[in-house]
Formats: sequence, structure tokens, C-alpha cells
Amino acid sequence: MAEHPVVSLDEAEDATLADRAADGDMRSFEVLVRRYGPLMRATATRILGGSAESDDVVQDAFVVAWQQLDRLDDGAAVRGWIMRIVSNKSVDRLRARREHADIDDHDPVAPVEHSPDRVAETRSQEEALSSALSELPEPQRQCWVLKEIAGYSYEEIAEQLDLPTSTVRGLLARARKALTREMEAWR
Amino acid sequence: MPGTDALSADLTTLVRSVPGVTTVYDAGSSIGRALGKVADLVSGRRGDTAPILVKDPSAGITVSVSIGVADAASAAEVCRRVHDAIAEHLAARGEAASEIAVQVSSIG
Amino acid sequence: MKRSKKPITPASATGAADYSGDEPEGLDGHTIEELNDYLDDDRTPARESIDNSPGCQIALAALERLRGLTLTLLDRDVLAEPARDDTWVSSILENLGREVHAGRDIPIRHDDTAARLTITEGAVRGLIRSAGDGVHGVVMGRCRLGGDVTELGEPVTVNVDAAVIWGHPLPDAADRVRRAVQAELRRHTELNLAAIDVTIHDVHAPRAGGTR
Repeated sequence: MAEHPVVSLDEAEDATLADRAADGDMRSFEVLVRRYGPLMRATATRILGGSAESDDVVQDAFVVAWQQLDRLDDGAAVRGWIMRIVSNKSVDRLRARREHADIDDHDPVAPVEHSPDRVAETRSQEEALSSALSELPEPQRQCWVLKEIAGYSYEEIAEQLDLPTSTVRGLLARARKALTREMEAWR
Repeated sequence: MPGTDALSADLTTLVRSVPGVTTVYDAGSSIGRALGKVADLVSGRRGDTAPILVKDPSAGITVSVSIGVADAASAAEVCRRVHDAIAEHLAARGEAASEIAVQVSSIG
Repeated sequence: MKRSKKPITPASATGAADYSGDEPEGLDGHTIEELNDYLDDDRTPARESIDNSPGCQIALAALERLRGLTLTLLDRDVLAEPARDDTWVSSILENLGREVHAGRDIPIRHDDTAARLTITEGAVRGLIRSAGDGVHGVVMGRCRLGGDVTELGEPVTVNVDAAVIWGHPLPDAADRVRRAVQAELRRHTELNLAAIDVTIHDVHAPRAGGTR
């Protein structure tokens, strides 16, 4: 039938792909899947604190995106829109975990002590951050990731995690302090 | 129902052979508009679902099928051809359908 | 479980901010949260008490380092992911409902009263996209069918967006798209086409690496 477009869909802009996918073009949606799948998986993993459920969450997010793309007014905003979907799905999983466990989330877990020897083991500042994040008490880690990685506002975090906004602020402040302390120790 | 299952299988083979038909989709997920998965019987996936929905209520046989057609043919023409092929097949068995629904879901 | 006071780290031994308590000392009465908000505000308006505090300056520098690392964290995560084959893509695509964007049923004529023949709106949009994509230099965008497409003979308006690669004359591209779309719709459907409106909504340069 038609010749191949001179511009490959692989190189098409987000807005074009989003518009076409909203009309049912699965080839365009596939390009979006390839383009943002890895970033979505990384985001899910960061929010969940591990990768075991990331693939599931990303798949759920793409199903929702496919269904609701025609409601997205500005196709150019599809990246942020799809990241928000996967972030929300990830938080849904966190909430589901909480309902099954019996943890009092406001009890901080004492972080592991760091000695200078430990400093030598770390290969880079980047890994130091990852490591420090994984050692934060879970409520602090969640708040920090949602704010700094997923771009949620204080109010949105409060709503998603079902906490008072003041608690969220407090958890974030403690997370920031803990991370800064750990990162400075590794300089 | 055994009778309609056999008829459904026969009709599927028949429809696939109509010139211009590239795919026979799972009728349950397209005519019914449910959010289902694609049953692409050309590729052999999901062979356990009924490709062509055949109901046999007292009012008469109804047939529903969803197809993909090749770009080279006219979709409207292929659609009519599929309908006629089904109607002829039933007539040859001494039956008539109270409704034959053919839906083109993809072109090219 | 109580949090114990942490030992003084090497950094604080040199007189820098001590993070060991609930609020670091050496910040001259300020809190880490204040300093973070100050950074959010791009240090504007300037606050003398912060700017003149060595402890605060050190803490601000530390917060900025943390920010820098944070900004690139996800990108590094992506780079660090092990290589995967394509099955993750196909399993995602298989899970999508094909009917989600099928749209309305567009009728096709048949003399037999028992016949109910239709083409989905989604199939027609796909047709229109392919027709426009075939025009050199064009990538089709959004497509709308206006009017009651479910009634045979009702006038229908087609509205499409298209992006054109820089360098191709715009009026010519719109005409070509219109003609291609009309030809395909006439061949495959029985729509009563009242109008085909083509909007060139974007003109962009081909990406580096050239064209196919």
C-alpha cells in the first residue's frame, strides 16, 4: 500500500506518536513502549524499593495508557503523563503491601553505621546515593523518591500514602538529612 | 453446543479462504466490544476461543465474525464476499441465518 | 526502637556541619529544610544570615551535590539495566485490548436484510493514516470523522493533522494528503465524504542520521 513514511516512526516526536496511538495506531504505541519502557521500569523500581514487581507495574501502566490516551489533550506531554501513571501504579502496590503487613510506619528503623572502611568499598558517589537510599527507613525512602524522583507535590504524596502533609514534610526533612550525611561521609 | 462449534470451525476455514481476508479475529472480543485479547487465528494463537460466533436460538442462526482485510482489495467488497460465502454455505446445508454480521477491524 | 546518637563523621571533625542530632549543628540556627527551600528558590531573595554562615554554605554545597546526583539517578538506572530481548515489548502489546479504539461501526450496504456489515472507525482511521503517510515527507497525526458515520449516506467530514518535513512545499503536501485520503476512502468504504480538511500542524527537521 502506502510507501514507508520518509520519517521513520522510531524518530517521530512524542506528540505525533501519542496522537496516532490515541487513534488506535499500535505501531506508534509500540514506539512509545520502547522509548519509555526502560525509564518507567527504573521509576517503578525506585518507588517500590526493588524490581520484583516492576515489570507487572509497567505492564499495568501501559494498559491504562492505551485505554486513556485519547483523553490526553496535549500529546507532547505524554512522557510526564505516562510517568505519573506508572508512579501511581507503583504506589498502589506499596499500599497493598502495607495492608498485608502489620508495620507501624512511623517507627524509624535505625540505619546501619558507616565506618571509614565501608567508605573504601563504595566505587562511586552514584552508588553511594543508591546505597544510602536503600538504607533509609521505608517511609522516608518512599517520600523522598516520590518527591525527588517522581515529582509529586507534598500534598500529592500525603494523599497517595494516606498521611498528613506535616508528616510528609517531616519525613522528607529527615530523609534529606540522612542522605546528605551519608553522601558527605563518602566524599 | 457441539453443532454450533463444528459450524463455527467450518465457517472459520471458509472465511479465511475468501480472497482479501488476512485475519479472522476472535468475535467474542470484537463484536461484543469487550476488552479482550486479539485472537489471531492466522498466527495460531489462542486456538481455544470461538473465532466465529454462532448462536442458534429458536429465532434462527446468527453469525458474527470480525476480519482484517488486505489493502489491495476493497474492504467493502471483501466484507460483502465474506457475508455471501457464509450465506451460501448455510444455504447448501439447508439453513438460513437470521443475521450475519461481518465487521472489518483492520485494513492493510 | 530508639535512634542512637551517631559518632562524629570525619567531615564534621573538620568543623563542618554535624548531622548527628535531630537538626545539624553549625547551621547558625537554620535547618536543613530551610536551606533546601532556599535552594528551591534559587537563593532569591538573598538571605544574609544564610549567606554569611560558613556552616550553612557547606551544608548548601552538600545539598547541591545531592541534587546533582539525584537528577541523573533514573538515567543511570536505565543505563545500568541488563540487556533484554524483545519479549517484554510483545507481552505488553499482547495485553492491550484491540477494541479500545475501534470507535463506531460504519455500515456497508447489502441487499440481504439479514446482513449486518460494518467497518470500524478505527480501521478507517488506520486507512487514512496509511494514505497520508504514503505522501513523501508526511507523518500523519490525529484523525477525526465528523458527522453520523453510523448512518448510511449521511455526510461525513474528515479532519486530519499532519506533520511535514521542512523543505517540502506546504500547500502541495496538504493537497497530496487530501487526494490520497479521498482515494483510499472511496476504494474501501461507502462513506459520503462531504469534506476532507488537512491541517499541517507541525514542520520539523529530519533527525540527524538522515531519512530512510
